Amino acid sequence: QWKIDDKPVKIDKWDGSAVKNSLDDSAKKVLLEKYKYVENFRLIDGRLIICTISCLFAIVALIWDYLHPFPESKPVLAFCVVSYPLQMGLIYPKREKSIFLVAHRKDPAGMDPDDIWQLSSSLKRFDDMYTLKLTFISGKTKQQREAEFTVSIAKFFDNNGTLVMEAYEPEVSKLHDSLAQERKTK
Amino acid sequence: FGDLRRMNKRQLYYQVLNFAMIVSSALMIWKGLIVITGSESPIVVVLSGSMEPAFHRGDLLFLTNFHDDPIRAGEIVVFKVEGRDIPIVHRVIKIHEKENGNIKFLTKGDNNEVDDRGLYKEGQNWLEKKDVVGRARGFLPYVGMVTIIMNDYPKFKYALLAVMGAYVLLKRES
Repeated sequence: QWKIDDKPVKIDKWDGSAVKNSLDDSAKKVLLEKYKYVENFRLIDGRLIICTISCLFAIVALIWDYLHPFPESKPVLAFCVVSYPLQMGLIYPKREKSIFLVAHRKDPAGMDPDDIWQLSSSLKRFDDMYTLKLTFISGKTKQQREAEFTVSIAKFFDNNGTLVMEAYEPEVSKLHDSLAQERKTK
Repeated sequence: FGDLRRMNKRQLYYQVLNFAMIVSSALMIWKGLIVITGSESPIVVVLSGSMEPAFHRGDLLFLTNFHDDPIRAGEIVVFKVEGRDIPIVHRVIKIHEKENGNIKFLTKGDNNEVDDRGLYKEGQNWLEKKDVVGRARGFLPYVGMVTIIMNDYPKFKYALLAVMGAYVLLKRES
């Protein structure tokens, strides 16, 4: 039985962002627990660090302006104000925006570099079609392969808003195996 | 709270960060407006009816304060009296100008009986460029009433901020 924290996941089925978050979390669980991949936090930590730095910029601007009232603070303010959206642009380049998991599969023999699996997803507002995209990057050949599915969330949640893992887990595994398969036949 | 309990350290930090980002963004927009308009308070609320029928209590004004803008009689300026925090929105009625550009001017609210000398500092009879916060460039009627209500009923303001803060902190973002 696949469950998060050993309790079935129950959310408000009308809350789009809770639905997406629970599907994302569960897909993560499948990759990390069933296939035993190791999560790589670099992408996520990178985003957290840049966001924190932007906040620091804002705080610096605030304090500087307080100590040296406008208009003397103009250059410092201008710098902070312009760099703020620039930093935001750094975190969210188009393709990477929806990636929520980067995991490594360590080569059992310990010789080849790790294979990388990336999960990204999208669920439009007020829409019920959830798209899950799995990207596989071979450690050896550096080749990249992707597979995705788009399914209505009604397929995975029951009337109470409980996520039915018996319906969801096979879909995720199918996605994974379709990419893993190709590797073996090459 | 189910969402919160399921979060790991990183996700919890992200919730807090999300809140900080919203505050920072608002701050940056405000400071950006200050830089662009050159005014230390680019958006002000009309607090009294002293400029009726042009402006009413609760109107929102957008100001600019470009250094080279001349101040002429008949224009509406927003100024602060030295030592007081509250900006006043009145019309310039008299100006004395020197050749080097220094000016002294007198203001009066359209709807007032007398000029503003009673509002100025003790012994001060004229305003100078440095007292000017900006001149009105545009306005939105009634929108400023929210600010007036929040200032008259501070508990309402804190309650509103607390609710908004709690919502952002507790609602899980992707």
